[in-house]
Amino acid sequence: MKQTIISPAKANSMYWLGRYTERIYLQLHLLRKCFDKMIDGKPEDYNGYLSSIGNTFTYADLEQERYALVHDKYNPVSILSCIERANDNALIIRDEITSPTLGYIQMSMETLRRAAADGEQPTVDELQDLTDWMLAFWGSIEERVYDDRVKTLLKIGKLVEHIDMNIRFAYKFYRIEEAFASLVTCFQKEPRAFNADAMDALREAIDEKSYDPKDPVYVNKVQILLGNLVTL
Amino acid sequence: MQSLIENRDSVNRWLERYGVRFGVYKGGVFNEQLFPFDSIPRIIAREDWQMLEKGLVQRVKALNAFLWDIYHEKNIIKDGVVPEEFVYSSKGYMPECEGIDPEGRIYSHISGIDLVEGKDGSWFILEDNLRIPSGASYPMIAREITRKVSPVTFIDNHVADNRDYAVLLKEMMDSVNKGRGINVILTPGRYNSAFFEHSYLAEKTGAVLAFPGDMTVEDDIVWYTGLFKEKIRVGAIYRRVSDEYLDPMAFEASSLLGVPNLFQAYRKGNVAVINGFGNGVADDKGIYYFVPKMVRYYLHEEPILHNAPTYLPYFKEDYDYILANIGKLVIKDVSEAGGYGVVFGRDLSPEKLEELKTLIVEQPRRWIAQEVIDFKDLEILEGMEKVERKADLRAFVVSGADGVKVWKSGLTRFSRNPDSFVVNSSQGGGFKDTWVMED
Repeated sequence: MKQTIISPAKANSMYWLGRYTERIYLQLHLLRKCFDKMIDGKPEDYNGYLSSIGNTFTYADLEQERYALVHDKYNPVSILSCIERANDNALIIRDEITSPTLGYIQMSMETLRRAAADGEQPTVDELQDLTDWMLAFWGSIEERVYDDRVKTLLKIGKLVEHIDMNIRFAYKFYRIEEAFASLVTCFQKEPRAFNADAMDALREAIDEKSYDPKDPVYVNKVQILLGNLVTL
Repeated sequence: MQSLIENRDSVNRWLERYGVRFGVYKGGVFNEQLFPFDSIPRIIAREDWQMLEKGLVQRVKALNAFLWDIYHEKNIIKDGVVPEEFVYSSKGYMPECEGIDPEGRIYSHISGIDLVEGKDGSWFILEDNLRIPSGASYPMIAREITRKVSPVTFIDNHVADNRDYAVLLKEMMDSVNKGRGINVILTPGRYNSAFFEHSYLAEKTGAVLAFPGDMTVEDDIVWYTGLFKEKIRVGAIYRRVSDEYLDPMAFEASSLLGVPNLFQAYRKGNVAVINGFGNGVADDKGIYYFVPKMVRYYLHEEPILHNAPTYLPYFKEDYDYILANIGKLVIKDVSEAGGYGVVFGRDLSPEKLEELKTLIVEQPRRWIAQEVIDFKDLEILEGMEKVERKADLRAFVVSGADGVKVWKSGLTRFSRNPDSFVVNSSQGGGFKDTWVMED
């Protein structure tokens, strides 16, 4: 039986793997919406997506932009960049998550790298494959990882990213509330992984009355609290 | 077999999916690449394997006996079988290891013995790798995949199952483990060329994959440090870090890859280090010459496996022979590894041959010379065409406190360059599965 002891560095990789995979999953969903708006919308219809994901790169035209948001490895918010960062973390913990689970990250990365090298525009099939593999990744964690602590650390990252992205894109409060409730469960399981003060402040901020994702000050405050929440 | 060949793209996709790669630094830049896999296996008949197995066990037993002797009584030197200058001038000899008693007197727990098969079917040992031999994970995972991709191939051919390597490793680690601590595999890190292997073997053996900084030594006991200062005792370390970088307090002070004071814990017998410290003295290319003599000396047996015909310029007769025949010999720098420092006399210009002769005259201990073995080429696929290329075999011998076992498989590496004898992955070689037949 494998010993369940996790080094700080591996715990950190678990947290960030959780964050990146959730980011990829949500960003793919949002990207499809953005691409749809690019068909016949005006720049103000889709620029919100670009600023909400933190894009600072500019591209010559829409075609280049569509390509780059998925395939530009130099743009840190592209899907390819996120999957490479997810892979960096996943490789470190192969022994914890198993090779078949790692395989979903590897497949996603290699598929994107090949498409990027070919200079092709992202296709709906390619994006859907990535979405499916991200879901399969989490399914594989559930199926193949028996160490509850590993699952909890991955899930903390997933939930932090989920809340962050949902607030950036001004989702309805109940979506944030659900994710936060799960995060509180993780806190109860692994309290030492959290900054208790940041957790208390977040409890106050994630409240239906104070929830105001259109207010940049509020969004900024929650993002800072999320950034300080985990001590791994 | 045809099915396996036809499905090679599928095999390669699975290898890619599992991240089966090795890293290479070129011009200071790290790149990971797939280790090219060739679907046509090397096939070893059952009778041949039985002979190889016996010979490998014999050789590794002698090498472990040599290591124990060198760091204790030194009888083989006293009896004039191995000249002392070959031991004490070896870069791999570590005086710090004098008197240390590893569990079961095992120094080389995992021995990677490189062999080639001559055209007449006879086998020759090329090298003994007793420090950190790598490569077992590649055929291990390739078999896992090829059995899935082409089950009919394995129904039609009765091939010994090689998926037990992780079990052999785990049993060996458990057998030498100290204080019922955990087993760990210590990797230098994510950017080591063999990181895939480190992480894969950790997954398969259930050992903890440890990185530099994860372990500390307190009161000569090694601890693995977990989250929030949790600690658990370490009983065995399968290290993938060289001796000189393994303990900055005892060896290279600038090393960030090791565990401070690990050597002291090892010396006290509080942790097993796999492979042991100081093994380099036995896999020195100069010492290789003496291994058949070790077999006779320690085991009182005739060696079953033979070295490639080798000459040491240290001996006058050999020195004269080498200088007279340098153009047809292969010359090896004893301090190099990984296929580096190997020169074929036939490839050198007359001027370069003269330069090499001068080096041999100046530093005879630095070189060995070998006859070029006309070894059997193996078929590989280039596109869909079968071509022949040079190949070697790295056999893995696992020695624990409970005995010596040879893994029924091995890493067959081949050169992709038709004119080259160098098969190392770092120099562009590929690999094949190695089938040991059951009938």
